[in-house]
Amino acid sequence: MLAMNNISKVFRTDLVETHALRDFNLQVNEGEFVSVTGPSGSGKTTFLNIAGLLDDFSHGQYVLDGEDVSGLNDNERSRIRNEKIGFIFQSFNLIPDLNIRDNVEVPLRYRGLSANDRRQRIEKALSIVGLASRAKHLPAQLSGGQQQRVAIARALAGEPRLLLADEPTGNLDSMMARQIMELLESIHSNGTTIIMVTHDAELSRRATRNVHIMDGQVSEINLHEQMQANVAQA
Amino acid sequence: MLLYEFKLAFKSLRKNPILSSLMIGAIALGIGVCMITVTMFYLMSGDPIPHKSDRLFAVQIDSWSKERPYTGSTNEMPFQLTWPDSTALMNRAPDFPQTAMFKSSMIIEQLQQGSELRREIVRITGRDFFSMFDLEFIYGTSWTEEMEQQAQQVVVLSETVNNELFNGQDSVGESIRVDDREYRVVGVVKDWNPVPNFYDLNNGSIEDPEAMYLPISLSEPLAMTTAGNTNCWKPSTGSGPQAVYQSECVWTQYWVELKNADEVAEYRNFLEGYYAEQQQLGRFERPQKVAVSNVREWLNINQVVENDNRVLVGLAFMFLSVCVFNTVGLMLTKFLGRSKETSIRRALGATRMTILRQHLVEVSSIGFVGGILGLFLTWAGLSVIKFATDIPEQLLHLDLQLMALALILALLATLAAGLYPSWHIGRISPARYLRT
Ligand SMILES: Nc1ncnc2c1ncn2[C@@H]1O[C@H](COP(=O)(O)OP(=O)(O)OP(=O)(O)O)[C@@H](O)[C@H]1O
Ligand SMILES: [Mg+2]
Repeated sequence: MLAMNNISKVFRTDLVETHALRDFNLQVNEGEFVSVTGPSGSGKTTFLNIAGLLDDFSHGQYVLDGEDVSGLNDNERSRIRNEKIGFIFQSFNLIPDLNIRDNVEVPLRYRGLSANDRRQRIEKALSIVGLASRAKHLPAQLSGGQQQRVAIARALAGEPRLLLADEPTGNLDSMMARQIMELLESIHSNGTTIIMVTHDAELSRRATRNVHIMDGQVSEINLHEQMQANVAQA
Repeated sequence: MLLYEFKLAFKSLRKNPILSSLMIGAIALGIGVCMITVTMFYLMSGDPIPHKSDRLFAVQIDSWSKERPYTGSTNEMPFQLTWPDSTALMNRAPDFPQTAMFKSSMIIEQLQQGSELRREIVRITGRDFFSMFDLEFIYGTSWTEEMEQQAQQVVVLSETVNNELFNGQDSVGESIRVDDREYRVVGVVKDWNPVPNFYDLNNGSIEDPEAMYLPISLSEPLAMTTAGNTNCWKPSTGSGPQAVYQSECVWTQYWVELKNADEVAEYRNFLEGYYAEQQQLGRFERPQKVAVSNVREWLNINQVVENDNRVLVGLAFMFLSVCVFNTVGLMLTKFLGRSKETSIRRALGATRMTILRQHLVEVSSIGFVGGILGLFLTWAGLSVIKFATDIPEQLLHLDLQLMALALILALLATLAAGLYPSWHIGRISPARYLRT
């Protein structure tokens, strides 16, 4: 699904240069559910932003779905974001002035779908996350967990091949977190590739593979080996 | 997609009504002020009698003092003629339609006892006046040469006065009292009020329409007095109302209708001859100078479209640009307040162009509403001017062209204001505002 070869990302401000990613290598296959862990500031969000074409990188090569995206212009990058990628953020990032339905509609608008097509997809996505009855509500009228489910519906409505989630449960209590996780698992079981950044070890373990990032580099640990190590320690 | 963008624009305008009305108000005010000054400017620089302006000529003779030239006009000749010169021209000039004239102010009343006294502006003029300036008779005709010779006391009424005195009935043959003398009505003309009133610019270029017209052949015998400007370089000898008729003061306008260049040459020739003759008789102490100017030239000589007016239009547009700059700030504030939303839209697939377009649509909506409101302000402003100046209705109304101009101007102004803010927000990177 995606392959990053020797990707580097440097943030430059007037005072400092931060190497957020250095010689970053990672391959994710179609249909995987990858959890990304690592200490704060290690470069997880940076990685996810580059993977989702929200940010560009300083060096290296990035192939997404068989296409080298390094040289693409804004229109092409926007189109790929719109058609292939779904985003879920820790802070939900719903548009506060739009009701639930109109929020889910945003990516469909930019894809230029017909009104009928849009309506069907919105209804389907909202019923998957169990919020069909809240279509006319504003985000502020929903709980955090519900808002995150709206965000998931918005990501799902476009039927993306790749779902990128940055600490999707970070702002939620454990009950709600579990609900969201179950939702993601069922989406994964339908064939969508998911990459999820999380601090929660338990959630991380439920992914098919865990990628650990330290100082902008991958130290990949096979989940199986990790568990065996845990057992051995005990 | 455009429909979606209009929907977003509408939502955004409604979301922040104070900011929105500030922007719309600023644009409307700028447009209103611009449109009012532009309308007045065109009115002043327009041709008051388009089909004839190249055939009507104002006559000037430099009768001024040896010591210094006349300074009020751009060609250093008095705008008006002395009475002796006006009479000489009317009696002796080549036989073209022409007339001397002046403005007077007289008391008018109906014949029956106890009727109300009213003071009105009256034009004292020759019988050619009506055909020369294309006045339209509703009843009767102009007075005749015979009536002039017999010194008959006749009058041509304006429609307004005829309505007031005779209920709009055909009043030809009826009599009225003017300055205590009885006059017989020979005709009624439609109100005539060209803007600018090129035929007598001595008292400003916008004036009330004249109430009635009296034969100038009666003016000296009856010692009628002018209500217009009188300019003198030499004290008049004698006293009483008759003195001004013999003086070197200028106070009559003089117009002649000439159909082609030959006629103009012939007339000018006569004027030059007349000038030389008068010089031999001891008048006209300056180097020979006469002029016949068509309406357009005449308006220039009189500086009807004064530089002041141009400055005013310039100031109005400067005011509009102040409004525009003000709006740039407001829009930037408003759009930047939406940075996070824009980041989200970018992440979900909006291109830079899409974002730019969304904001330009919003900007245009502001411009459109501002333009409409500006038109309303223009209309209100022009109504006040109409009320205060008696400019004829049809000259100051908002026609379609003007409305289109106002809307286009409003759109251009707001687009100018919104271009930078829209471009700026279009450049927001998608990742920029998505962190918590
Ligand atoms: N826009 C930016 N400008 C400058 N430095 C940045 C920027 N974004 C991230 N960084 C720096 O890059 C490094 C990696 O940041 P990143 O957000 O990827 O960390 P993270 O692993 O997601 O951390 P957390 O778990 O706290 O979310 C950090 O040192 C951070 O300060
Ligand atoms: Mg992060």
